[in-house]
Amino acid sequence: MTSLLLYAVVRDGHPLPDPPPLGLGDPPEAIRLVRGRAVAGFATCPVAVVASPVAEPVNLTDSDAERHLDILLGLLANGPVIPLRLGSVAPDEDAVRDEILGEAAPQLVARLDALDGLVEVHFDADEDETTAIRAVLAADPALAGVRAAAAQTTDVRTRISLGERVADRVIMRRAEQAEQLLDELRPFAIADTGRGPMGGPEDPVLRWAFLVHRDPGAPSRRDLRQFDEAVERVRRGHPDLVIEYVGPLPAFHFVGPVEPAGEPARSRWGW
Amino acid sequence: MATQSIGRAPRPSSLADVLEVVLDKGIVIDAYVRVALVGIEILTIDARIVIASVDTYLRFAEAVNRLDLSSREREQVTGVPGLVKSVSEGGSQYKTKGALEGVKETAQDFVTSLRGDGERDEVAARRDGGSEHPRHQSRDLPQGRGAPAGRSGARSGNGSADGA
Repeated sequence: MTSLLLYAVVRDGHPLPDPPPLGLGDPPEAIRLVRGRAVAGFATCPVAVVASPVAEPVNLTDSDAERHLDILLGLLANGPVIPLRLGSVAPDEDAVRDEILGEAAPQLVARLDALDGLVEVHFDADEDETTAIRAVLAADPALAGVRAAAAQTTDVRTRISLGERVADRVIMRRAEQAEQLLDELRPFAIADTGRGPMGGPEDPVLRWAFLVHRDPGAPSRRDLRQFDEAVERVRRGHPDLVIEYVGPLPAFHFVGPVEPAGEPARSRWGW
Repeated sequence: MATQSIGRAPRPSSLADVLEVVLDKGIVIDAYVRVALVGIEILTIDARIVIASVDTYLRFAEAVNRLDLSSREREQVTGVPGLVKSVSEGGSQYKTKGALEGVKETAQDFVTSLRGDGERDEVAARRDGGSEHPRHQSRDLPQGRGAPAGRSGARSGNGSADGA
């Protein structure tokens, strides 16, 4: 039985890459637009769904995840995209029309409008663990006593206790670093949010998503080029950090209501 | 993870990073729009084991001792300090870190939902349980993250002190 694998909600008439790329599944088929019927307030359905036929049962693998992302990136080049959850499958086009292109359509097109011209970038920072431990030891002479005690004993609890105290300070250090990085980057983004765990001893300094205008010239100047430069300044200012910077990506983390430009949304910062 | 020498990468460099970007992201539309992922889920579940625990503390303590050792080396240079140094610095840390690094990426979501820093999706939730409107699902992953588990382990876990 053939179903439809869904990738994203886009505006009706969103240009697909030519030729349209192959979708997921085995065998893969080309992606296409599933268009809806007219809905209240619109002459035609203002949104469409990007989908590709897929044979049941659908088994997706790692490489499908990569392809899913590539398809979204290809779509993003031509306009705003609301990504659908990887592996979303609908039995047929009518199901897509009923469930996505029906009553939800006005809401979806409003979101697409809000996301128009905006892209997400990911900024990750991490620090070598030895560097961090060295720094916290240097900053806290009280740890020296604990360290000496731990060196004298083979007692596991003493060692765990030392490790825990060091870990707590490493966490504090990373939190401070993270705050500083955010202070340096937030002025250049429309919105931002955390993307991963921070605040654990195994966690990186920062894993963050920022929303920016793709093109220069926006009144807020919070655009990709400005942000690139901000990241460059951060790199120069923190040579000890390993920084990864990826984008532009679909606004995975901002498909909800978008804050008005100029007022960066403060995410909850839960340590 | 390689350091990016060019400013911005157009796409994540590793599979783990791709999964971090794609997995459990995007809106969920409806109950019968469902998900069939094979293999990927297994990877993420495995990753949960990696989350910080008492092992982390032991490793940190070990790292502290190693720093101690290397400063002592500088004071009294005996034997083959170069060799000792390379062993102590190249040994356990990278072994542990390297093993963790690959799966760490996909563990992020789990831990995020545990930490509760925002809008993150519930992770282990059935993906077919979509909400009525396209929006993020609320998170309800019940298990605590590693730190509390590690702390309780610190009291009771006197057994497997590897590298003691």
